[in-house]
Amino acid sequence: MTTSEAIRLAVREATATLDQSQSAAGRPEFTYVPPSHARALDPEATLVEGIRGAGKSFWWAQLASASHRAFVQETFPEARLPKELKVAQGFGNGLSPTQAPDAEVLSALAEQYRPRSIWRAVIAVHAGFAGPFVALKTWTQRVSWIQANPEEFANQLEAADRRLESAGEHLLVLFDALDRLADDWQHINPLAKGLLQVALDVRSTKRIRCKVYLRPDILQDQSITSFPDYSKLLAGKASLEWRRADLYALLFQCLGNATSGGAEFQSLVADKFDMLGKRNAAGAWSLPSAMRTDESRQEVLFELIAGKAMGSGTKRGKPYTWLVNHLQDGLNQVSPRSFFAALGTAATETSHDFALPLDYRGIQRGVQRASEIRVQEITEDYPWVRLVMEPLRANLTVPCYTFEIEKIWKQEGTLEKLESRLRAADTVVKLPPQNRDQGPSGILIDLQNLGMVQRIDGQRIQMPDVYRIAYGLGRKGGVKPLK
Amino acid sequence: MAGCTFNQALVRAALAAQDARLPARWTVGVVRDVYGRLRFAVDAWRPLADGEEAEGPRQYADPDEIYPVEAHNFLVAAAAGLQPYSGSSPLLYRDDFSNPALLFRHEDWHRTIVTVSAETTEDGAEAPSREISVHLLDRQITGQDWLRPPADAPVHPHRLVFFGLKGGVGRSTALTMVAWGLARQGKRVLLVDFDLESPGLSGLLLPSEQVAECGLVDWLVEDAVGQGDEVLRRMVSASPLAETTTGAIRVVAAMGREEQDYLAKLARAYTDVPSPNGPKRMGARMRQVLELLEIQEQPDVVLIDSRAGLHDLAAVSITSLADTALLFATDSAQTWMGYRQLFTHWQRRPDVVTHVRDRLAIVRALTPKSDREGGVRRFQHETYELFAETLYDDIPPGAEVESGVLEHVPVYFHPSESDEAAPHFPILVDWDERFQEFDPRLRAGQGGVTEAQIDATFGALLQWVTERVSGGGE
Repeated sequence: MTTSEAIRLAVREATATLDQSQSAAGRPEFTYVPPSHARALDPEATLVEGIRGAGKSFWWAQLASASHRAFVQETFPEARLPKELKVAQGFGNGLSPTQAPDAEVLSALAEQYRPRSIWRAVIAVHAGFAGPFVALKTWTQRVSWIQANPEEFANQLEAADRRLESAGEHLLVLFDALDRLADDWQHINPLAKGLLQVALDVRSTKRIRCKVYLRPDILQDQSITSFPDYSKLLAGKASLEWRRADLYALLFQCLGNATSGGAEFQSLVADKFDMLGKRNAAGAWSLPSAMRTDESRQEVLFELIAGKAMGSGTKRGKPYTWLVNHLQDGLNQVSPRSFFAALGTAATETSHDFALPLDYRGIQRGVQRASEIRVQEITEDYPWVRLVMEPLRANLTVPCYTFEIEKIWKQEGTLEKLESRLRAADTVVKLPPQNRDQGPSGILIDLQNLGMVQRIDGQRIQMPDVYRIAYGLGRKGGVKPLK
Repeated sequence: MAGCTFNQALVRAALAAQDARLPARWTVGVVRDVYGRLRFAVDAWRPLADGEEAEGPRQYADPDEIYPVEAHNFLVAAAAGLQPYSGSSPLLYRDDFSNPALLFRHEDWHRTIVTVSAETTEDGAEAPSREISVHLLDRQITGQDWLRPPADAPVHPHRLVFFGLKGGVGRSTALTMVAWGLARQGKRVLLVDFDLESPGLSGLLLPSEQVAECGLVDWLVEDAVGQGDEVLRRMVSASPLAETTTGAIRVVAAMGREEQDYLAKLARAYTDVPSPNGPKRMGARMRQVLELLEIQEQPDVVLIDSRAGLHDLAAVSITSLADTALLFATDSAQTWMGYRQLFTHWQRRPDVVTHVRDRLAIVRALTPKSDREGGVRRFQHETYELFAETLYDDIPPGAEVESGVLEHVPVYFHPSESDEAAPHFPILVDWDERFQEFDPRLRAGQGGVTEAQIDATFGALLQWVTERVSGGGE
């Protein structure tokens, strides 16, 4: 097998792994902590904000896994994970009823009890409260007891904190997927607010911390964040953002540890830069730190994988910058999943005898594929997006004036459909656009906040390629194809 | 009918030429003379008037090759509508030429696009504006070269043309700094001053006594009388600027060392020169001298200082010499208007557009340091809009549907605003007063500048050029 073939296999393996690891933790050595994410792992950062695909659920799962934690502690000391850290999951996808109440249980509980009592009960379980609490077996019993015995809760919390301290341990309780707390904003908001309040309360202990992963739009909702001292919580907020160097470092970290082609990739790095990554006792390789942040070195390395140019000359750009440019949304964000989706497709599309691991035409195709995946991700998180975007599919050329979009929505009765499905409590629109009371322009504001559209010169609407291609929108240009 | 302007005349003629009532088997071309007057040209025989006898070669004409009289009359009426822009004999047929191929097969025939503005038709309906194409032979005094796609050039070193709409934006200084930077990388750089109207590039690179004996203008004059080769060997000198580098800077100046009568030569430099294959135009001559110099000097890179402004000489440099054309721009109304005129001119010729557009690169000259980030973003937005509206492809909705085959990845050329490799994405050259009256031959401390200062101002440009040159042509 040639080096190119081996590395192509490594790209396939690495990109496939990330795709599955969003909820279940993948192999520890495929973990990469970008410098800017180190703060998000620090137990002291209670709020962690990130767009869809930025890695909220990824870190939620990774932190909860002892083997992944160990790898991070060893390889990325800057994340400052305490040595003796107990991690529990207090809400998120795929938990058992012993760990956390699910949405159904929450819904029943919320009818009788204060949201804060519910989340206190969750903390109490994971902090190992002693006394009569131990005997309570259902969430309803626990929440009921907590709400009835506020003083006892405070004492028990303090006792748990002392126990952790004398054992030299810390406890971190993780919360994810707040949009699944309930079926609609009306029910989600009080639960989310209660959770943030409890997360703030436990900061008064020495050894117990919460970490809440959430989308930016949730933090912009007044009905969730209007409580005393919220600003204290916000001050320690961390953001999961992926800069270009972070994405490539993640790729390289995974390539070096791929079962097939990993060794070839490692020697590529060693030959080109005279750098050997560290290996831990289990044989996991870590990307040399100079390769993590130095974009010019990364570019040289990526040239060995994908070549110098997106074409036969450099006029169409360099793969290193081209790829990320074409995946950026209107907020200049790129999700690692779309990045890997593009590379995975590129590896599959490149013919087996191609001289380099990746063919630039494969990368072009990969961007198309990533565009579709991005649309899929966003419509999963925001189902109303499908409703407002489908009428525009292959039916609009950008940049356009807002009235052109509003005209299509009017013809199609899009907003009426949205409202009627909302009234019918249809799950497709369980979380409607927040600014819909402002009509079409409000919807455009919501799309803009999601990074799906951009406003230019105040009046026209532009759409970044990552969405434009998947929706088949045209682009205005001066050179028309002659018929 | 209301009066008729230069622009309207072509639209009217184009509409008439493609009218459905005309027989489809002949393409009706439009010939525009130097005054803008139009004639219709049909590669057929003129219909005979009643009682007229056929004479000359057309006695033997196939009756099928005679243009129908109704169509003839239609075109005559259309020509009358062109008013002052109608030529004296408004229709040209084979009968009008001893060698009709000279007209009908002329190399300059091309399709050009005209916009028919929105109008209210006779039956009161609203017709939106639309674009139609017309087969045009444009007889101009100058200006042809803006629209002349290059002949296939033989293999040659990468040629970079430095162009600006006006002087004083630091174009020559930037060129000098790029030359020096490339020489420091060990490259052999050939520098050619095609700015004949304001020669002076050599002043930055050579002490006056080291300027070569002959200049480019001498070659243009001497070659016209068959003595070009004599001059060629005496028109290149080495710049001392490259002495401390591993490369070389070879300079071809516009004007020779002891020039006594430059204006007299310049006045003759642009003439077409007779040759056995017909008159040789300025564009072809510039290409020729450049190719000869490249053979003689064997450079790795050629840097060409183009004449500023919308002039033919600049057109030749950009459309037919350049592998890369660096378009210097400042954020001024003059810049935007000038480049829009230039790009719109190209836009009418799809073959020229596709050839030229990805060779272009905008250089943001004299970038102010105050509000740098915001200023650059606004500038980038302006350049994107300009390129998008004139030179980038229009992508129809639904056109980029996946085809399932790797080779069929969409071929539209329309980079996004933030695409760093796109022609519109500005390369920044900062404003720095040190370079306003700058002499690169002075050392730092004696009125010169340090390498660090040069890097700070021209580093981005040099890096861009280095990458473009090493990436090869396409």
